[in-house]
Amino acid sequence: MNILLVGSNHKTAPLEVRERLAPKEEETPHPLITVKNLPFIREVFFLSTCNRIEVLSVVEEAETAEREIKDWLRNRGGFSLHQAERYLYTYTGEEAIRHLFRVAASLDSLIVGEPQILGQVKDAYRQATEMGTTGTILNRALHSSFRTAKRVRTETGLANHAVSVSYAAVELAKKVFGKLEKKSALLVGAGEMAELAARHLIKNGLSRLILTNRTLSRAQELAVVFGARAIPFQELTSVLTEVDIVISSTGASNYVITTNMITDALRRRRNRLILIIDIAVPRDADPEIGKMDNVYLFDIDDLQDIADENMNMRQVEAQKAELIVEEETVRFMSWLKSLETVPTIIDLREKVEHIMAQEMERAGAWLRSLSETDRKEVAILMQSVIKKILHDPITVLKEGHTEGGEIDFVAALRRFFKLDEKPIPPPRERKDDALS
Amino acid sequence: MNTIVFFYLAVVVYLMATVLYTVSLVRRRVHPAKHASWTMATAFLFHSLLMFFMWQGRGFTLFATAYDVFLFFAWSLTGFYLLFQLRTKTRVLGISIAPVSLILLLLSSPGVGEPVSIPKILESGLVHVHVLFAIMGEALFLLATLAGIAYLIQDRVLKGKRQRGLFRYLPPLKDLDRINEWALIWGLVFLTVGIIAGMFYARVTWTGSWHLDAKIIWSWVAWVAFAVLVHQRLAIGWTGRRPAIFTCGFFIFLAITFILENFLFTSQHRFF
Repeated sequence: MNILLVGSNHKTAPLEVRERLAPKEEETPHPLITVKNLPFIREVFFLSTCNRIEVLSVVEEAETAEREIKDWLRNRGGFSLHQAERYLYTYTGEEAIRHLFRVAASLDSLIVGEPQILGQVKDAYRQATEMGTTGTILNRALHSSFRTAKRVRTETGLANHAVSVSYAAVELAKKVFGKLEKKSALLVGAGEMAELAARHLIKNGLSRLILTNRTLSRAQELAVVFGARAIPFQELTSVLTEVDIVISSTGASNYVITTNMITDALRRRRNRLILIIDIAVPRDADPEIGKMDNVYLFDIDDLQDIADENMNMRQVEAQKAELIVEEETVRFMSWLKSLETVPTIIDLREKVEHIMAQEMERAGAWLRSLSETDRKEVAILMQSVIKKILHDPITVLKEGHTEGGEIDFVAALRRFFKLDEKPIPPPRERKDDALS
Repeated sequence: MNTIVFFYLAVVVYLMATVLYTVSLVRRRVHPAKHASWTMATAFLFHSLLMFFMWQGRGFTLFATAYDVFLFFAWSLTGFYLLFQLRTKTRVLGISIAPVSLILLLLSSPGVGEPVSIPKILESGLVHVHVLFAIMGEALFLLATLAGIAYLIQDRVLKGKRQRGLFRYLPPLKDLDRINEWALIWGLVFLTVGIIAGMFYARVTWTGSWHLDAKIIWSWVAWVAFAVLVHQRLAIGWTGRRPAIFTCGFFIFLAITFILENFLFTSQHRFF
């Protein structure tokens, strides 16, 4: 019995390979079932995101199973044995578990600390349980991975800080306005980064977006995509009165947003705060604007500084996260080890002997009133009752070992007799949030 | 007896809240500040019980000594802060509220649990209205000032383009500005009610030129300061930095004159 993980991610394989490996919609039978039916495979979990494919399994003959899974992946992805060396990675035992935990905690992600991955792991797990392809070991492994991810999120600041320039805009908007509901933004010009920033703002609750561009048709096209309103470029000045956030990225060589425009707008908007994010190079907004009260101006370098600094913080936090992963891996492995037959039999015997000793102790006064021979008789009697009771379960456990079902038996037995209550301490859990 | 117990409980819990807020700021985590908010609410509960038992012990004459004033001032400050906190999630602002309440509570400690002789004049209903509302008004002024200071710091942080350091988790500008505005408006309302109640009472009971009493003049100055700020905000459209600066300026001025006035002038307002 071993744990085996075969996978492929953005670091090892190009996109088109990963695309071919991913499960198709309405694929029957589902990859989970296909893999489950390969020889020597007892439990399977299958994770597929745009950046990775992971096949995690509990197998009997590690080498054969690894070959089977790799062949299946190779056929699917249509690549040679030679390429498989490069595209696929394999982890077994403790390393497989560590990898799973790192993935769930977003330490292996393209953008370290991005939060979506945990949801994707959870969905994949739900699917696997629905299809009944996971068992004792993977259930525990997945639950441990969720706990690891949660601990990483709450005990480290890994996910707290914006690391992209476009997301830094959201962080700034939140510092100025708090909640973005009921706030509106104006996108001047169209650039990839500005669009991305707008998308982030909308995802964070922005209620209204207005677009403008020198060529109105371009703005109108984008407006359809965003469900926004497009206005002609000449109306820029008047719309500055109503919006809270301005993101500018035109290719203009002169200032598109001037001090006069803002002075005027501020008077008409009764000094309501305005945040201007100037992503354009050369700059769209006159830097003098930044010195005015109630106006907060950030250019591309400022945003880059924020993103860089957050990136540094993330690296520090990632080290803390690795420690948590290590801790959880060790914990899981020690649980896994306890699932072996012999230690379980020993634990069970010890527990029962302990109960007997306790009960003898409690009956002390009465026992002392008996004669020496009687006391021995009582002890022998109890010993033989215990032996008889334990005989069958232990026999089945040993037989299970040869039939390959020992894990489930052992796990069940450990639960029935609460043999794990001492060795695994309850997890420390804390909550933490982003801003406010 | 109850009074002393709740006094110590309130002091300890305010201290805990102060520590939690500080931890939140220093370690740059929001998590401790969330606990701090609940701690603060608990402190407020103990504080309320403390005042209830104290007043019950002397037949609900609310203000007999200067210590009572400190106690009620701190209570109002905490209470209003917690109210605002329900509307805006400005937890970290608590770092400035908790220690102030704690200090005021400690200042009031000589008066807690001591028997007092109550001057007849302070038993009137109008006097109660006068003192209650005036103190709540002043507490709101202090709250507006603390929010103003936080606003100015956050403004500097953003304008300086530096996100690092202690002030990373200061509340958003908009929320601080809103707290300043609400506190000014309601502070003016409370203070107005307080002053009018006081004047009615004085007209009936006092004789002589009480209009020129130092404390009364000071109250009018405070009222005018409030009124000017509220006017500038509502009618002229001041927002953000300017009202924050002026609130702080007025408050410091009033605090200094209040202390001077207490030392330099005699006043018909002195009963304690």
